[in-house]
Amino acid sequence: MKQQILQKVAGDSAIKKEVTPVKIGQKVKVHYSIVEGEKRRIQAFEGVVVAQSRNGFSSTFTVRKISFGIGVERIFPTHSPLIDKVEVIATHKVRRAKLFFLRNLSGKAARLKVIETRKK
Amino acid sequence: MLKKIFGKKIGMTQIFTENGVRIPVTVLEVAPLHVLRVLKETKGKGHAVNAIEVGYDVVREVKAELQEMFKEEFALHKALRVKKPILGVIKKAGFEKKFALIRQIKVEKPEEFNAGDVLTLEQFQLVKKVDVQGTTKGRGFTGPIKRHNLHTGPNTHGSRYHRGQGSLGPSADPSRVYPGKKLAGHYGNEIATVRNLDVVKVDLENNLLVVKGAVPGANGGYVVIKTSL
Repeated sequence: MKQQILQKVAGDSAIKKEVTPVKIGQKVKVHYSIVEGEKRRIQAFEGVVVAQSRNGFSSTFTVRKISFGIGVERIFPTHSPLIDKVEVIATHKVRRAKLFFLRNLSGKAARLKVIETRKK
Repeated sequence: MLKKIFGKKIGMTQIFTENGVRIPVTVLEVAPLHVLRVLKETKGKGHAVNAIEVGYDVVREVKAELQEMFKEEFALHKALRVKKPILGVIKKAGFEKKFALIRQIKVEKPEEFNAGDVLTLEQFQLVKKVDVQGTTKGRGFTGPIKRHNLHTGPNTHGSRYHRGQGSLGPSADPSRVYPGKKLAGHYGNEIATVRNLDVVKVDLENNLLVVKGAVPGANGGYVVIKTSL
């Protein structure tokens, strides 16, 4: 009962209702809107999903990419209304729930085996 | 209008605003208050202040069929498990329920209330900010480090001094420990108030009050909600 009330309160706020499910190890492109003063524009962040926190409407997922030779990780709230859309580009074969081992790898060693690619 | 109301902590969650900002919120359930007595200010003997006595959170009710069934030996105070003098007050207001809390609330105009009224969140004088009072989680007998945030000793490098608190004070003079010394002891299970919490949402339909930030106590614990000054 308590959980239902909490879910309802969170669900009634300005959450994003339709969420693209992402899996660990998927290469995704997150279109995230950025508010600059009054302007609103969409920026894409493309990388591998390395972690996920599953907690109802408070869930988040972490995307890792290499930007100019430096690893960047960004945590997105799954239900954030700022996420315009999430594209799944490829699915990789992974055996772990958290891919933090990628942080210690670079270049060729940081590749993952592709099992499914998006059809164009 | 009430400046104080009773509630129950449901738990915490987070909500999104239109701008995508996440707000950590605590959901409080404010179930109806049953007015048992209206206490008016009287000179001489009696009450010094204007107040109403309310029962909050119905924990036990008796079905009418049950009373029918055991007509002869039916005793309401036993069925409800309420002491007889308290039951008298409750019955006088026209209720046959057991309340978890019976408390008094100071009011400015007692004429506005009658015994037998059921007050909801609507009667609460809503402002942008509220104070919430709760009972913190009991932690039992706790060491000085957790209880008073004293420093620990080093854990390694041959240290033989880990979680002790060190010296208790001067030696031969005064040959005693000063009163008020921070020591181990019972911690938690005490009344704490958080002031100036933003009211994020009021749901009159479901009797919910959503405030920004944390509130003392465990989920399901009773809280007192007051309008902030």
